[in-house]
This record gives sequence, C-alpha cells and structure tokens, in this order.
Amino acid sequence: MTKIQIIAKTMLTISGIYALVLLYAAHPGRYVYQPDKTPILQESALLCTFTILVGFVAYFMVFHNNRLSSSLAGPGLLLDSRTQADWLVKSLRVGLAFTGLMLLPGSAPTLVKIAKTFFLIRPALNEIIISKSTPNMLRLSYAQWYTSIYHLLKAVLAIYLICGAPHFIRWQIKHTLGQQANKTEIQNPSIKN
Amino acid sequence: MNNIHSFTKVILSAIGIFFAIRIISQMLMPLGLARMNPSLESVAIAIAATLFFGLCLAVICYAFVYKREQLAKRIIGTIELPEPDSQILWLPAAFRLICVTAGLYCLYAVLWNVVYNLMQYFSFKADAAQSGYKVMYTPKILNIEQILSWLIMLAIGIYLVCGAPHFVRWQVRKTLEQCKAFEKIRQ
Repeated sequence: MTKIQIIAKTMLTISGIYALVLLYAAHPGRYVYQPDKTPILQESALLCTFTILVGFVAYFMVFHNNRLSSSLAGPGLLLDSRTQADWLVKSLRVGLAFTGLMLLPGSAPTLVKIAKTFFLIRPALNEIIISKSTPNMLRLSYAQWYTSIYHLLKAVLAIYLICGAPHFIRWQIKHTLGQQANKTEIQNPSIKN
Repeated sequence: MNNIHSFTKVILSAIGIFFAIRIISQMLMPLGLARMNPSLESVAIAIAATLFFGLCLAVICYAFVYKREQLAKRIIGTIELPEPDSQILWLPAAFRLICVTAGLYCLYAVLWNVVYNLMQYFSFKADAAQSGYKVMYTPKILNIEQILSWLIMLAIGIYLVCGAPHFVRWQVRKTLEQCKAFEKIRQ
C-alpha cells in the first residue's frame, strides 16, 4: 500500500461511518407514529431491507475497502510492511477520533438522558413490581423506540471512536497486512520457499 | 516553516472558511423567525442573535484566515521543525487540529441550538391568547435536560478549541503503544 492509499482508506472508513449514521437517521420507519395502524410485519420487512442496504455500505466502505481505496488512490511508491502498519494505525486513529468528536455534539442530549434514567429506574421498577403496570417511560411508540435506540447506539459509537476504536484498528491492520501477504505470495510463489 | 506548518495553515484556512460559510447561512435565520411572529422580544432577540453571529464570523475570519500563521505555530508547538520523516512529530499536530475543528463544530452546534430555541420560546410566548398552546410547548422548548446538554457541549467545545492537551497526550501515547504492539507481534 502507498501513503495515498492509506489516506484514501481512512477517508473511506470515515465516510462509511458517517453514511451509516445518516442512513439510519433517515430510515422511514422512525416517522411511523401509529404502530397499531402499521402492520409489524411490514415494518420489520422495511427495516430488514434497509439493514441489507446499510450492510452493503458497511462492507464496502468500512470493513473491506482495500480494493476501493487502491483504485481511488492509483499507483505509487509501495511502503514496507512496518511503515505500512505504522501509517495505518496513525491515520485510522486520527480519522476515527475525528469522526467520534464530530458525532459527540449530537450525542450530548442522549448522555444527559442516560444519566436521568439512573434516577428514574427505581420508581419505574416499583411501578412494574407493585402495581404491575407499564411505567410511562416505557410506554413509547415504535418511532420513539427507534429514535431512542438509534441515539443510544450513536452515543456508544461516538465514545468508542473517541477512545480510538482499538479493536477495529487491530482487525483492519491484520486484515490489510494479511491480504497484502497473500497477494505477494500469489504473485511470487518462490518467496515462500 | 516546513511542510507541517504549511499543511496546518491550509487546513486552518479551510476550517475557517467552512465555519464562516455555515455561520453566514444561518445569520438571517433569527430575523426570519422573528418575522413569522413579530413581537418586541422576538425582534430584539433576533437582532442580538444576528449581531452575535456577526461577531463570531469576525472572530473566526480573524483567527483562522488572517492570523492563521500564529495559530499554526501554536498548534505545531515549535517554529523550526525537521521535515516530517519522523511520524511522531505530525501526530500531536494532527490530533490538535482535529480537536480544534471538533471544538468549533461543538460551539457552532451550541450557538445554533440556543438561538433557535430562544427564538421559538419567544415566538410562542408572544401568543398570549393561546395559553394552552404555550403551556404545552414551552416546557419542550426550554427544559433543564436541554440546558444541561448545551452546557456539556459548551464545556467540551471550549476544551477542544483550546487544543485538548490531556486528550491529545493520551491519544498519542495510546497510538504509539498500539504501533509498538504491532511491531512486537511481527517480531
């Protein structure tokens, strides 16, 4: 991989994560405010189709973006595996931390709501156990559940990215370097011997 | 002045222009909202908000376009640096740059939210005849939860614009540790 390819890979990863966040924000299901009038099967089918679409974006832009990044960046001076790993770790960490920081302002209200839930959880449990009724905080429509879960996952993602997404980077480097090694092996089978 | 300085200057100018355009596009929004429901309070708030947006625009243009060289030197740390062969040199600068960008974004989000919600609050307040409407909507516009989230965003924004020294130090340390761990695995 070249330096430009690594930068392209980082850019693709950032764009992919942003695309995922925006796609789920634009999901049509979140505007359904009358779940009784909308068949649950129809809603589930819509969500599944949407998830498949999002899965394609995640697969080609976030997880397996080596081919796309090399076609975007074009040829150049190849780096040795040590420099390549260094550049990958550093550029991915900078890029992912940036994405996390940009997602943070939108997640601030969610973090406040999470903190508020800790104070409301005991009365809600009391209501469930003693009066055997659903508390108000759990009486939400489909759209409200969808929005709450979406914001919660977005906040978790933002925090994970700010922490540097170590697992994702480890996986990306192993995957990329492994792919490079396989490619070299196929091109020069004598190297193995 | 080397490549890192030049690169930082270009990025800072881009950040300044990006946020200037965003602020310009929002500058007339308070006046538009005040026109929808004209009252003394909403017009006063709209004029104050527009002037405040203008002040922010002037500060951003001054710091990120006119005085970008000084800002770049502050972000890089020292005036004279060798060419960026050693990646350790550019890593803190890159982290500081993304922190400044994210901090500006945070402050912009707070500013926009505060102005928009205040405008809405005063627009509804003007409907004295529709008291039920006001009672129903006012708590949704301004409540403790929202004000608390703005304060959190404001604090994070100010910390990030100041360069987030602890965060940058922690990120650089963790990144170098991860690089070393990969080297050990390869050996």
